[in-house]
This record gives sequence, structure tokens and C-alpha cells, in this order.
Amino acid sequence: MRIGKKWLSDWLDSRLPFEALAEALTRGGFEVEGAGTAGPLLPGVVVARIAAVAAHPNAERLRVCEVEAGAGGRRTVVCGAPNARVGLKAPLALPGAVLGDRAIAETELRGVRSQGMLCSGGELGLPATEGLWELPTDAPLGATLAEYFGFADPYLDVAVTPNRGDCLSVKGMAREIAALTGGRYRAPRARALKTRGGTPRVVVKDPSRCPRYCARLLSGIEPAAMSPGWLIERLRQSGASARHAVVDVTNYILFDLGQPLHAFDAALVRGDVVVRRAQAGEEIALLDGSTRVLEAADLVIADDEGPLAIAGVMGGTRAAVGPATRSVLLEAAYFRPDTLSQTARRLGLATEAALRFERGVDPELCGLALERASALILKIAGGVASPAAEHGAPDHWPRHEPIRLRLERIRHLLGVPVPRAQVARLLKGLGMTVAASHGDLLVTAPSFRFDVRGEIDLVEEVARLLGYDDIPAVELPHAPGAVRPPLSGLRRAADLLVDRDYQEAMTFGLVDPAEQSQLGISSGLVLRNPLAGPWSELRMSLVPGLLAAALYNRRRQQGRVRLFEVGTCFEADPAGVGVREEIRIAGIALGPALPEQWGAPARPVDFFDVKGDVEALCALVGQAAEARPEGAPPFLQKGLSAAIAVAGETVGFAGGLALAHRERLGFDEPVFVFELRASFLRVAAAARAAEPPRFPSVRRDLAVVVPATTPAGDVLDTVRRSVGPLLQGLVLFDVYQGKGLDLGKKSLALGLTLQDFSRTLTDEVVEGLVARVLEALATTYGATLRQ
Amino acid sequence: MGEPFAERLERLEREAEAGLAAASDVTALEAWRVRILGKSGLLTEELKRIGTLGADERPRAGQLVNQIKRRLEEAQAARRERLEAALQEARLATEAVDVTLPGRGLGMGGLHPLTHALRRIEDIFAAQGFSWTEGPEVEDEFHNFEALNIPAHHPARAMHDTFYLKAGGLLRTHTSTVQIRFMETHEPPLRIIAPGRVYRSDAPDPTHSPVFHQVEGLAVAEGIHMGHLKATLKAFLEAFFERPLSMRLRPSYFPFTEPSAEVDIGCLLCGGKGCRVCKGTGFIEVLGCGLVHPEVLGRIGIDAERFTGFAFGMGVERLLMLKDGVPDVRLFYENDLRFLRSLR
Repeated sequence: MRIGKKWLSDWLDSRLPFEALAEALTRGGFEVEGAGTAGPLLPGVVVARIAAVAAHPNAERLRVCEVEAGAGGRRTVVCGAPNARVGLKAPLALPGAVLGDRAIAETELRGVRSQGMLCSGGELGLPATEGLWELPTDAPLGATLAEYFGFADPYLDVAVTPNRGDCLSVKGMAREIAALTGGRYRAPRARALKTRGGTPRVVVKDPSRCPRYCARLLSGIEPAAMSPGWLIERLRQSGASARHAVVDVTNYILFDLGQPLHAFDAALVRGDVVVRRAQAGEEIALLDGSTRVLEAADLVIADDEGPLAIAGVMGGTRAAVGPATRSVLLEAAYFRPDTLSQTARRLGLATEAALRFERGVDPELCGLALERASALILKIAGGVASPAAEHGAPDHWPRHEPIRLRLERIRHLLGVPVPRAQVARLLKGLGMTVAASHGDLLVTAPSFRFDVRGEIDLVEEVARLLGYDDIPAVELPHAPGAVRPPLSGLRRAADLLVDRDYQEAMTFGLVDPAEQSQLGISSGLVLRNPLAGPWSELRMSLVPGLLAAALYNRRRQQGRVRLFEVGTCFEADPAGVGVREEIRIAGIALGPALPEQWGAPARPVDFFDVKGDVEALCALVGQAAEARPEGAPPFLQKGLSAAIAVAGETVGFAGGLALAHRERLGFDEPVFVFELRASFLRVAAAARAAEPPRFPSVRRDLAVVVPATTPAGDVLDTVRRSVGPLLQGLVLFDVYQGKGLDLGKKSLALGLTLQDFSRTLTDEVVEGLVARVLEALATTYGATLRQ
Repeated sequence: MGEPFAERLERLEREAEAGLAAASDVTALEAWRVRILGKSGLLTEELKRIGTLGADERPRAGQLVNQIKRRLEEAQAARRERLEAALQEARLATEAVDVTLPGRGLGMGGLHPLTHALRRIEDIFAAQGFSWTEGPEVEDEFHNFEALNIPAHHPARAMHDTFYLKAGGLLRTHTSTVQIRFMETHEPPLRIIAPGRVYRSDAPDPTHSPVFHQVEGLAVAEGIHMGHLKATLKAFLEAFFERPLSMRLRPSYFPFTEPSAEVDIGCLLCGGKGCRVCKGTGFIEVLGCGLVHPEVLGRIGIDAERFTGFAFGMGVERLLMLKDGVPDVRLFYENDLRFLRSLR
């Protein structure tokens, strides 16, 4: 809402300087979002009238105008605008004026002297006009444009919260400001019009949705009448442009009083005006150029031929006011907020009228607004008014029952007592009636306050007017210790990855469905109303986001990229609530395994680096990460990827991105990823204190030769099984293939640490165990001891 | 007998001293020791020979030999010490490195700036007795709107540009949903915070992101009032921004709190004088809050006459942008390593 100082003074007497208003509004719950003066001051731009127009002797498109601009006699101005004509009033920039970065000077155009420039709106930095800006006929010649329009007037842009529809007008703001600052609000009045003829015929078929409908006929109006400058300027300040005097007045009353009005060309209305529900499938061509299909829940203003307007939202073209209109049917109504907002939202029509109706327009305002609008139209365009038709169903008006307000409740909620007299005074200032009742107050809100329904609303009003600053801060009483997150292990997991040189990333939970489907992991959870851009499906995995983030960095000269993310992934779950959400932890690594440094050979990151990170994560909860060659997702390369299981349950995967995807995405090197369900952090192995052994352990190293295709993990498992509990440690410290070994064979170097907790192991026992291991390996894999 | 005993001994000592000086390493020194002082060394031989001397000569000769022996032993020990020190030094010299060379190993990763902020917020509120909780990101109309006093055609729905799923459900537009979910399963008194991602169908620009983080706070108990809300938020904001702050509550509107307020703090950049960041007002908006609307409590079955409470919600990106001078919210989700590393 823009509030101009001068306009505000129509309804408010206040000693408060306009500059101090911003602070008062902000503290009263109306955020001031901007301030300024109404328009550019434009020195040297004056109102001029074209007295004569002649063809330019040397240029077909130019004309030579004689203009009058008050004192100083006539001037000659060369002008190219097609609407330059005798009698037209337009802005004239005199020599010396500066328009933007353009200085106006007396000059010669194709051999003809030009003493200034006739201007369009756009040339003045104001809304563009086609050709010269055609000024109202009441504009005084020679006056500066800024004087005439009041461009020096300061304004404030004020945010009005959705509960305060009553403040969506200058009058409404004036009333509120009076309550906030103690000024005097002058309520608008209307003088009775002289009327003639009968009332227009109106039938309201749905009084619950249209509890009040007022209308009158204005006939004999002058079609070419032009709105006066002050009105055009106020519309401009409100963001509307002048079109037709009648429409201008209806728009003006909306901004001034907050009552949306609608004018129909009475000559184009066939039969009675009927307020009714739309028939499903009924169509209407609207003023915005669109044609809409209506539903049975929509309310329309119709005649014998069909809908003329969508009630309170937008008018149709069929009976629209236009240049030929000589009589209008002027409507002022109260429509029920809920039905109207439903229609407006469905059709996506956020008009000024709908905005106000859906927040609630005072049902008692219709008559007054109709009178004031009628009077103004008659003043500008002449004509005569009929008596107003009035259809009211007060039973359906919003009810304002007295609300019991307990002073004790105020103290309870605000933490400070507020004296009864002060409460009563503050609420009365808002137009409420206040009565005493058994120690409490009985408060009745005025008809324009749709937001005051219960005691809490009154408590808020008291707090707001009192000022939140006057409520003292009080510390909460001490409470027992807080509960940490159930997955506080996630913090540790993130810290671990940071320590292992991963940088945490955060990517959108929304991803490109095409990318997910390319990777073969569609979540199937697609947005109904996505934004433009690739964010229209919920992610099923963190990998697509990490791939994009890695690529982004790779393209910015980051050779070594190691990122991880902790975030929610989604999956359709038709059996349950529809969606399964799961927190996962994922990483991506590409480029050199180590940062560039001296003394360490550079090598690219590989599967085992990433597997080591996964193993470290699992070790956080005392678990081993079991890598299974089958079961990794399809976007990973077969033979270079594994499903990861913890305690027998698959919790994720690790591996290299498949070559096809690397090439498709533009990675020129191997890319490794892993992803684990965060829930694995809950499967912590029970920790038990281990006493340090009192007897020495024995280490035996074995190099066994097995077929190259034998998974090392299987060999290790076999060793573990065959030794049993005496095996305290098992490491695989070398893998060798090549010279000295048969083709198709590999050697695995195993280090076994044997430990008996109750005695020193004898050579005999150790040799027995080693023999058992070798025998098991020989039987299972045909393994031999490497010579 | 030839050379007299004393002279021979003097000569022997001189020669031995020369030999000691010539011993350039521990091995040579040991050879010298064996040759002079050893079991059949030259000096030991002389000692043995004392027996052959006359009885009157013997005490003097014995004294002389022992004096020489002590002197040579001391010289030998000193020499050994010097040689060992030299040896040690030589060995240390081979192990010396250029300590100005850079260290080796893995680098150090970092947490995302938002994670730092979220942890910080969690920790500050934990100290005030607020427990951590969370709720789903895909929500239903009831928890995101209706339970929060935002019925289907309420104008406040326009404040939330909501993403809807084709399959039904919506992406929560605020973490206030967690208030409801928590109160459905817990009785007052309660104090919680609920951090999490929220979604709005806003096209990304320097101040908007379709995905961002909020932290919701809720305290419900007997006797909670506006004053408690003010003190709690002031303590939080000063802890978060690590400085004393001026704070003001400005009346506002949220359907699920009443009275409702926006919280402003004195501009961090200009200290309240008015600048570009605060648009000349001296204040910047940091979060929204209010007393829990009695209808919200009542709908869940909490006696709103007995229990009162406050709630607040803050945008984590916004807080961090203010705290660390992040100019564009999109930076948080671009994951440019150069940005992420600057705030770790």
C-alpha cells in the first residue's frame, strides 16, 4: 500500500510529522518497505496547449506546433508525435530542462527553429504514453507538471499483513494511524444525490455468498470526459493507469475507501442483473483478454445472456465500459471472502478487487462507496443518477458478537498487568465498543475488523497498541537438560569425513528427473507445480547432486574434488504414507588421492581409497563394512563397485561411476562415490571392555598363491573361520601378480596375529594352526604356499 | 737394564699421549686402550715389572706407574667422550632435514557453513533446555496448513508458494509442521527446536532459494508469556552473533501465533545508524515469532487455558548471510569449493 501525505490528510488530522509516521507504523505492525516523493520534480517542464499545427516544410513526419504555456507568449516547437493536434494539452520541456541525461535546448530541426520539446510520459520518466502525454483539460497553462500533479508529495510504502484487509485503502490506513498515533480520523461521508427514475432491476439468487448488493444507473454521461489530474495522479501512485473516467473513479474509490466497485455499460446489459452461481462449464471472456471456464462454486454477475463478470474478481468484456458508453450500471457489493478467494486462486486472478474481498471488505461500506463514486462520476462526466437498488441479507453478514476479555488473561500472556482503563482506551481507539461485565470487559469489534474473533485477538491488539517494547524480557525458568539428536552419530560421521579430507556440500533435495532416470534411480515423486529449471523430482539418492557439484568444481580448475553430503532421500512408498524419507550420507572423490605435495608419488584416487573411507565410517559404530560384488546400483561400473553391508544388512554402496555416465557427464577421469543409509549408525556393535592380554602374541606371515579370480575377502574369511578365536588380527599386506607366478595366479600376503588369553602359545600350537589354515585354503581354493 | 725405569715411563707416557691424540675414531681409541692399558698393554707390563725392582725403588715406581695410568685413563675417557660426541653429531647431521619444507599427508576437509550454523543453533538452544527433534519434509495439508490455522482458502496461503507432489502431499513450506507433530505425541511442558529443510516455489535469486533451512522453536508450559519469548530470543541472538545486540519485536501476522512478531536486531554493519544492508532503517529482520495460538493448542488437545507457549522460526541461510557477509543465498547450494573453504 502506498500512502501519500496529501491523500492521507483527506481522512486524517495529525500533528505527527509525516517523517515520524514510518516508525509509528512499523511499531504498529505495518512494515514500511519504502519511502519517496510522488514523482520527478522536472524543473522546466510545464503544461502547454497546442494552439496551431502546421506541416514541416522539410520533413514529412515532423510537424511545427505553436504552443501556449502561460506567460511568455507562443513558442514554436517541432514535434513528431502523431497525436499532436490543436487544443491538446501536453507537457512541454522548456530549453534548460533536463530529462534524464538529456538537456533540452533551443535548436533547429531541419531548418525550423524549435523552442522546447513536447513530451510523452516515458520521456519524463513516468509511465509511457502513446505519443504526447494528453494532459487533463483542467491543467493550468504554464504550471510546472510537478506542481500540477503534486510530485513533491512524500509517500510511504506500507506492507499490510493478510489479516488486515481493512487497511488496504488510504481511508483504512488513516483510521489505523489515528489509533496508533492519536490523530483524528475523519470518517468519509456522502451527500445524498438527486436521483431520477427507477432503481435497476437486480436479483440476488445466492444471498449467502453475496449478502449485500447495491447498484444504480448513471445515464447521460459524457463519453469523452477525462479524469482530472489529481485523480490520474492518485491512480498512478496506486499503480493503476487512467483509462476511462468511469473506470478511473471505480479504481480510485477502491484505493481510497477500500471498496471494490464495478461498472457495466448499462446499454449492453440484457434484462435483469442476476447474482448467481455459475453453471459448470459456462464460459466468460474477461477484461484481461482471457476466456475462463467457470465451475458451479463460482459466483457471477449475469444477465439474460450469461455471465457479465466474475463476482468481485474481474469483469467480462461483453458489457465492459468503453469509449461509446453513455450509461453505466454501477455495482458496490459485499461478497463472502472464502468463496471469492477460492475462485480467484483457482483462476490465478489476483486482482486488486479479489485481494480486498478475500481479506474482507466492510459490508457496511457498500452504500457509502456507491454514493461517493456516483457523485464523482457525475461531477467529471455529467449525467443523472437513478436511486440505488439495495439487496441486503444481514443474516449472512459477518457477526461481531461481544467478546469477553479478562484482564488476568492479558497479564498471563503478556507477563505484565495492563490497567483496565488503559485497555478500554486502547480498544476504543480502534473503533471497538467496550463494556464492563463482572470484572471483565465485553468488547465488540467494528464491522470492518474481520480478524477480531476471540479474546486472543484482543490481547494482541492491546499488546500491539501498548508497544511490544513495553513488555519486559523474562528468562525462562531452568529446565532439565535437552535431548540430543537420535542420530547424533551423524555429527561424528560428518566430522570423520572432514578429517579424511572431504568437504561437506549441500545440494537441493529437488533434482532433474531426466538425470535421475539416466542414472536409473527414479523416485517417481514429481512436483505438480515445478519451477522452470531442472528441479522437479525429489532426489532418490545424494549422488546426482554430488555429481553435479563435482562437475561444477572440476570445470573451475579444481583438480581434486572430495565432497560429501548428509541429507534426506525420498522414495515412493505406496504401501505406507506415500513417501519414505531416509537420511543418507554420501561422498564423491575424483582427482589425485592426495593433495599435490612433494615426496609422495601422485596417484589418482581409486576404489580402495573410498572403500577405506566407508570402512572408517562403519568402524565408528564398531562394525566391519562388507563389500559385495553384486548389488551396487546400475550407474556404477561393474567390477569396480560393491554393495556395502553392515551386520549382514545392505546399507549402501561404493564404487566407480560407470564409464558411460562419466563420458555423458563430461568427467575425463575416474569418479568414485559412496552412499550409506544413516540408519547404519544405529546398528552399533555393543562395546565391551577388553583386558589387555597378559601373554605374548605370535605373528605368522603367509604368502599363498590362489587363482587370480578368487576374491581376497573369501580367502580372509576362510582364514578367520579355520583359526577361530585365537586369531586376534589379520592383515592382507600384499597382493602380487606377475613374474615368478603362473599366469592366472596371484599371491596374497597375509599377516596372522595369534593370541591365547590364558597361556603363552607354543610353537606346536602355532604350527598346528598355520597348517590348518593352509589346508583349508588348499582345499577351498587350491592354494599353495608361495616359495 | 738399559734405560732407567723413570725415564722409560716418561717416554712411554709421551708416546701414549701422542698415540691417544692420533686416535681419530672409537675403534682406534679402543686399539690404543688395549695396547697401552689392556691386560697385556705396555703400562700393565711396566706394572708387572715393578716386582723386579729393588725394594727401595718399588714404592716410588709403583706410585709413578699408577699416576701415569690414572692420567692416561682420564685422557682416554675424555678422548672417548669427544669422539663419541663427534660421532653422534655426524649421525644427527645425516638425519637433519629442511624443516621449512611443507608437511605431507591428507588435507583437511570442512563442514558446510550451514552445518556449522545449525550445530551452533542446536547447541545454544540445548543450553536453554530445548531438545532437538525433526519431522518429514514431505507433508500433508493438515500439518503444513490446517493445524496451523491456515484453512484451504486463507489469504495467508499466498504467503507460502507451495510445491505439491503429483502423487499427493506437499513439500513443507516451514518447519512449523514439527510443532504440530511433536505436540501430537508429547504433553507439555515441552521445549523443542526442529531444524530442517523447507521448500518454496521461489525462483532462485540472490535472496531466494526454492530450498532452504529453518529452525523452529517451541516452548509450551504453564505460565509462559511474551516476556519469556523476548528473553529467549535475545539470549540466542547474542550467542549466535557473538556480540551484544539491540533487539526489537515488531507486531506482525502469522496465523498460528498471536500475538505475532517479527524480530529485528540493530544492523550488524552500521550499528543502527542506517546503511545499505538495513536499507537505512538501522534494523534488520532476523526471525518471526509469537505466542502459540490457543486454537492451535486446542486442536491438538492441549488445554490452552492452562498451558501457554511461544514459537519462533528462523531462516538459517539468512542468519548466516548476516553473520558472515554471504552476499547471495545461491552460494550455499552451488558448492563451489572456493566458497565452502572460505567459511569452514
